[in-house]
Amino acid sequence: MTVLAFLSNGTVELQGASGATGILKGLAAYGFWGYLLAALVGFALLFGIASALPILFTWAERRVSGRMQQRWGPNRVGPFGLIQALADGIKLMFKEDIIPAQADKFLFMVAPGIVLAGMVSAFALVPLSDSAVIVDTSLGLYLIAALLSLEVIGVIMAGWASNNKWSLFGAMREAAQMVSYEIPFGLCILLAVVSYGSLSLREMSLAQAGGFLNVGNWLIFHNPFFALPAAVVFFIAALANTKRAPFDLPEAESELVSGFHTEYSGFRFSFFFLEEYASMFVISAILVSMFLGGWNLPFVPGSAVTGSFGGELLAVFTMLLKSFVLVFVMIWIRWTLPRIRIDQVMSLCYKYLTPIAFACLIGTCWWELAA
Amino acid sequence: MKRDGAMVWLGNIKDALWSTMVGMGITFRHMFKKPVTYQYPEDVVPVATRYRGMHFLEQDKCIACRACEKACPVDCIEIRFLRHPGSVNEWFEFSLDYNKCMFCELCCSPCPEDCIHEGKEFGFARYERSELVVDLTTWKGLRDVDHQRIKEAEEEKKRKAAEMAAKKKAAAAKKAAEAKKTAESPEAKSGPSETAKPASDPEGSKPQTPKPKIPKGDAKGPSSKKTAEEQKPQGNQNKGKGSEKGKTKGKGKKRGGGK
Repeated sequence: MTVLAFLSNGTVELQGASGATGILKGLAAYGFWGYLLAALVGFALLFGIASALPILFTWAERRVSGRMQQRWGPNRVGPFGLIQALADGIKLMFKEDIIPAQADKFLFMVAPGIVLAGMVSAFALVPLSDSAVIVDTSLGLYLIAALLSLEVIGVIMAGWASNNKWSLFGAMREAAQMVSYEIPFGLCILLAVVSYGSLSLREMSLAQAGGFLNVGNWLIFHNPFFALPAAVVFFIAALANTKRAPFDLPEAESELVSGFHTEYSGFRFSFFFLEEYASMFVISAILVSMFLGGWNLPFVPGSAVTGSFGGELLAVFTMLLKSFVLVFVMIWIRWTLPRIRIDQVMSLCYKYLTPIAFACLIGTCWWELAA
Repeated sequence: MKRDGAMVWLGNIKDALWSTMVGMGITFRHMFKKPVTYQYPEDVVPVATRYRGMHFLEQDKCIACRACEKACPVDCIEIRFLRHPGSVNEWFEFSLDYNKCMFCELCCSPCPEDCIHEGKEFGFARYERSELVVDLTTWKGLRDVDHQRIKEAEEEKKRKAAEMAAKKKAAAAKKAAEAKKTAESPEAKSGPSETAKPASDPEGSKPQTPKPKIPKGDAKGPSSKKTAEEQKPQGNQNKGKGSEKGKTKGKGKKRGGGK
């Protein structure tokens, strides 16, 4: 998948001189095969992270939802039920992989792959610290937006190929939802681009270092009247992007019987499952990089990366912490709000989010010119 | 307040944000409350004191009178035992068929010894129907105590028999002596036969304490039931732990008398 990212950019910059990325850079010196190996190593790394995070998030989701409903949540497998998600993963792998007789077999088999591929490659572009980034391109945000949209195609393919009316309804809803949320989503990205003059998430994080208490240069504090509402709009659009409640219309367990993945089982289903939880992290990391100061630890001036190993570690830790907080908020919202109707989604996105995002964008342009 | 135009739009945004925040506040507060669920296998929901669950039998109290078996409307109780001297029961089976049982508790009320109860166990999930036929006995056959008691009872019986034989012999000798002398009275004839009767009773091994109690209870019962009931436990307490068997026996007999 990283090959895709390499090709789409043309100029490959493998970051850093230490750690895993350093090895990748060393391999890149061996020409094509070196690049291929680097890509494979990068992919393995990414796939590992993209599969490991959902384990944590599903556990968190089930524990948090349990406590919000005054239940215990999983507490049998491992301490506090921590290994429950792993047990479920093993279960999913050993389940029968059923393909309906009337399904479009090729599309049915390919769809989960496309969904997961888009998400995993988006992972490659998320900087966790100055050097802990697999691919840092000058097209960062643009590419991420494109790769996250790829997932929608996979969902529509899955819904169509299942040859099931529920699945098709789910897919159609996903399409309708996508054209609604992508506009405010894109406008908020544009707002960040206007503010920083760059599409690279790494440069955005670097630009947010320093300021009052090391938070003054965060976009939401640097430009509070326009960036703060834009961050909220982006977060709402991100919820829709990850297909999570209250925007889980394509899935809609209670009405569409899991919507687009009704017919999927076993390992192929787990692809959709992984994608949902991993994309939660990707979207949160993007939001943190754009609006919430990236890897800059608040109240600790000079915590921005200095190139030392400790500094990098602190940066990664900060980035993960901030993203996990946002993931928690996503979980929190899911267990608070009921699902809204498709017409309400469109009304929300077209009549509220899009005008607000536009206003914020224009306001930011003015703010940046005035500042 | 009536809204129009742009105010509707702004008002909607305000409402949406406000209601979302209120909802999230509620879920956040609930997150720190104690879960209300029970962790079932380890942590069982408390049931009412009068819950009708799986029966339990106080086997050492049971006298195998079969009152419960007779009372059961669906015939789900089966009792098999062998009566030995000294009121000792050799147990083979006291089983309840939970395929049939409807937990009416009609088996518990007629028990003269108050030894069968409905417990709090409610888990009746089994793999086979036959597993629902539950044997309530805590032991089968005879315990060491029972052997001891049978032995004692038999010895007592022998002793009583010997005593009676001796008495008979004495009486016969007396009779013969009296006959030898002169004419005799009818009272002297009936005397020895009355004393012999309790000796032949199988319950003879027990202390004689219940005997005086029966006339006491019966005398007071018809006139004032309350006072009789009040006196019953008092009488038991006074007697103390020395005669456990006599106590229960007296109680049971009294109940029967009440009917």
